[in-house]
Amino acid sequence: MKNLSNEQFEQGMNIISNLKEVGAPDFFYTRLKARMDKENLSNELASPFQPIIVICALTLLLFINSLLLKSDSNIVNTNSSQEMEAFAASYDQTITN
Amino acid sequence: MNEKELISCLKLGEELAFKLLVEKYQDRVYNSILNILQNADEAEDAAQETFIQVYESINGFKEESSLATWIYRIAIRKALEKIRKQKNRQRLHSIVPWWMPSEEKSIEAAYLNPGINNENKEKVTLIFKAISELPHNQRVAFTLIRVQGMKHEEVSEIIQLSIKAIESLLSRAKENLKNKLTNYYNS
Repeated sequence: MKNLSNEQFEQGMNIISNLKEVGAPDFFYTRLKARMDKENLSNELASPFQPIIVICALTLLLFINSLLLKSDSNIVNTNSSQEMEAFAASYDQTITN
Repeated sequence: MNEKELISCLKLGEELAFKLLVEKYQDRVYNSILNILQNADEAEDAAQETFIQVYESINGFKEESSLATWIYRIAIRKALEKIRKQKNRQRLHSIVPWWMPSEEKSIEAAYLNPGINNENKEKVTLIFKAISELPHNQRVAFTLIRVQGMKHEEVSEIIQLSIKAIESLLSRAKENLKNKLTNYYNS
């Protein structure tokens, strides 16, 4: 294998040292500003949906739901015994406990 | 507007000052990142992230270094983050190739540069390919000094390493590059 001489290496390095500077693409600031505005907007939009708020809201919802279920179950019990009696009566039957 | 005034206006959140800052540094920041990443889209993305970070953390800038050094430090960090993400994606792609979109590593920096004639294009592409395979610190030090033409002192401030460490990185980078290029030329 032929080794690269220092001279060859430096020749290659000289080419990359003399590259013209490539400037930022056109409208760089406009695009940057648009991105910043978008990120700000998405942060603002995201703030009501922060995990802690979501968890609190869900817990509250569950709590209210369980309260409603508990109060409903009493009504259902009385209603269901009346319905059962009416159903049995329609077939000339009686319910005995 | 001098640097001190610019910094105080930035700290007050003045949009015009931010625009001036971006216009002043965008080319050098973009070019430094492009030379490291060798991908125009990723370079623009990292350059944008650099200025966003500058805007967000200007109040924490203690003026222990110049504004330019501070900005380049952020830019180099962003470029290295991109390289790390690229490597992670490639690693993931090698594990689960069927659902990951294939990512072509482009070495287009050389082609973007209008100063290269056709005869040198192939050589420059090979050199940039070899540079991209260097360890991160060597890659950054070599690119900033040999491609960007920065002084050792400037690079030492940006990478926050001693000048001796920079010289050592540079000499190891040169040795590695020589070996890699020998392989390319002989293959």
